Amino acid sequence: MDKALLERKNLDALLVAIRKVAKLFAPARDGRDGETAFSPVESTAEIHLEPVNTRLSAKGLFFPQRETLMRFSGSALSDVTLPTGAFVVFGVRPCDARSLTWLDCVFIGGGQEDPYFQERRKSAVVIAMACDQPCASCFCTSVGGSPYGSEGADLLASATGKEGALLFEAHSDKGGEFLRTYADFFAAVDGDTLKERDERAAAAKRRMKALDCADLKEKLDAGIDSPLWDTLTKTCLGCGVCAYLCPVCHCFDITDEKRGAEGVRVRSWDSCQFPRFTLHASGHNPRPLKKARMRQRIMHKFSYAVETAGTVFCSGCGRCVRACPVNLDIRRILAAFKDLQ
Amino acid sequence: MGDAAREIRRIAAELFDGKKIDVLIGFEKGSDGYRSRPVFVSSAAEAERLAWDATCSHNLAVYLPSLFRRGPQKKGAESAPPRVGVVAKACDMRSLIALAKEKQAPRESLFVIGVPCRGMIDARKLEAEVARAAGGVEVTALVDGEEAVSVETADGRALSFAREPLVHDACLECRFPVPRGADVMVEGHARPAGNNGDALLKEFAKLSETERWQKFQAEISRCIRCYACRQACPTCYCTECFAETNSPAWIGVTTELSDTMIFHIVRIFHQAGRCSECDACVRACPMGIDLRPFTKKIAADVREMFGFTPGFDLETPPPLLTFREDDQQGFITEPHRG
Amino acid sequence: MSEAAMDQGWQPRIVAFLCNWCSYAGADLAGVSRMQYPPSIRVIRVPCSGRINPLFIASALQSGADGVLVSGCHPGDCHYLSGNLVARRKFALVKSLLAHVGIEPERVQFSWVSASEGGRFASLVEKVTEDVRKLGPQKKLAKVP
Repeated sequence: MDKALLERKNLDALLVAIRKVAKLFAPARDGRDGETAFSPVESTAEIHLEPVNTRLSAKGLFFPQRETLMRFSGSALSDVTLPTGAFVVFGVRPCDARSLTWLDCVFIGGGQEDPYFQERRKSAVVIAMACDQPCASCFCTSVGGSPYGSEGADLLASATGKEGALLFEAHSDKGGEFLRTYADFFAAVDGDTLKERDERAAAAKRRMKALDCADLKEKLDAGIDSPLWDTLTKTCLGCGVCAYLCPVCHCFDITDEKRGAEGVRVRSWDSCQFPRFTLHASGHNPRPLKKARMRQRIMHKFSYAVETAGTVFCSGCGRCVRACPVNLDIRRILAAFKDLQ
Repeated sequence: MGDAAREIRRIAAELFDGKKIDVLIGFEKGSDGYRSRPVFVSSAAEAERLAWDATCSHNLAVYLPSLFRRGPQKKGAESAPPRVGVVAKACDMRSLIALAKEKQAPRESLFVIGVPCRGMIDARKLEAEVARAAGGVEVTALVDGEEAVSVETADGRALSFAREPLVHDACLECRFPVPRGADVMVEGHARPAGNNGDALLKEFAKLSETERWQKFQAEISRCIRCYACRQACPTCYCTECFAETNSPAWIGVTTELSDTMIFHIVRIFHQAGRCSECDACVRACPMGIDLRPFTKKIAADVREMFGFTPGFDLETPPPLLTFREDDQQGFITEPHRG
Repeated sequence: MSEAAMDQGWQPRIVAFLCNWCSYAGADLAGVSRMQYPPSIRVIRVPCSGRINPLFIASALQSGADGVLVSGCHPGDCHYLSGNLVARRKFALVKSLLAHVGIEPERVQFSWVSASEGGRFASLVEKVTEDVRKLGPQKKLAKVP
């Protein structure tokens, strides 16, 4: 069965059953400004799905901010302990789910697997939640996504409007397996429910203004020396907010932290917007100016990724737009270039 | 505040027409019709973009040090520093003076347009309210009234929200809402000055040592080390921050809690005698960390211990560059005698 | 102090930053005069108390020091004339900020000891050691890799 209906009264029981075998992460209130964050939850009462996305994306559940890669003592390497433990992530928006497939391109595949990331991906079931109320800062439809998109989701859940019932649709073997495992909590789906779902999906898409991004890569490539890079990025502060909150940004730093002869090698998030990101040991910095750094960010996402991974590396989640301390809007930059002659 | 916006545009255009400035830093309308964002304009035509309303909460002085930072100059052939116009609230003005005092931005190269402030609202709070009231509809305009802020939506609705609850908490405690020392002042009235008796700080200080430590840890454990606070702060302008040196590596670069706590303690300590309590660090933080119980502590200590409040005059030496014979030393340990 | 710490015979470890001209010499005098004081301090000699960067104190605590002692010349007697006077302001602010966030004030102490005050130095170390012993091992800022 690849589609099933979960009535509201069964949701709590389903979560309890999941908790017996796995950790459960979902958007919960993070105690500040009404915002939410992916947190471990025990019951439906803790889950809050807001029209506005979670502060941090789901990427931190797979590619944590700080990850201990190995321990050492003197010159002896101790065992590397890979993360274990099954977990379910519920309430991931289609933009975040899609980004997970792009992180897969980076961390898995090509014959070089990142074992830490891979373990977590293997251990997780991703249940996406479709968006019926896209926000003004959302632009997934401008970058090939959709509020009812299923890329990266093992299951896509959507609100049916029938007394809180949720429609679950499996989009992977793991998703199908999930529905079979928890079949007791689900009911069959009728044709009307599916029809309504299609209507809701269309309505959500209609609420969004899509930027026409055809030829964007060509325009960006042609505009590499454009003075627009300077004028559009003058106000950038050079912090890491956009890169850290982005569901697909994945640059990292590896450092050793020691006390005496004992230590750990750790990986932590990094941002190409930090002024010293590209500082060489010689003192030379190939990207000394803000415009070069922001240009690299845009080019990576909208040009280089298309060449290397066959897709843009932006899901249109809008977090960078909302959270940028100076409201530097990526959509503005894209609009300026797509109109370039 | 349509009048202030018009005034700012008029003054800016005059400055450009009279070739008095090379660039002006101000605000323009931001995303979604109601945020504001900083903007650099370089001509009278571009000055038409300048705006002013309740969401202009950034501290524009942050852009000054890099504008004036130049490499080594050949003697006798030094290039003239740029002439920079800047729109300034009182907190921006105080940061600007602090920067001038530290020789990061020559006062004579700046033309300051001062604007009295009624308190700025948190655009994110407003956006969340709009999302809750009207879903993800786009907002096309914002009107800042006396008691209320109204927004117009793309589907033709008008929503109104009470202004005070949306005002940044720090603005509620602002002691100096009118900039002093600007080159020209825009007409308008400011919110009443007052600091609420430093209530926030006193409330924190009343807690027990254990409670203070728990609260400090709880705030700082939210930190993701994005450095938005540091980058948004006008007086954090070191080209190499202590948090990023690797010889010596004072602190680790990850979110390890002890490292992160020391980052914040020392960064805040570095603001002693320089911090204008503009709240830029708090507003920039994507994780909603409230640094105010700590930033206000260093500012209050400098006031009480050394009688200094930064940002009002260029002559008084910075408090940590000077001393008095009678500086307090009650904190010194006197060993007991046998 | 925790039972565990007492049982394991825990002794306070205190990093002492001493200015070369006064406090370090004072400590030296205590030594040659055979004055006894607890072996809790690890001395780091600096040219002047004005050399002290708050990061030294933070670093010591991160490395697991149970306490930090900073000592320089008496105000007015600084070998470099005013190093300790400028430092005095910094020290007051650092002590206040650390206490404010919840670090026990007795863990980070500042004093003035002159080159001729061997006895004062010994008493100072006695006092600081006792203060830190009562608080137990420092865990708040200690970083374990």
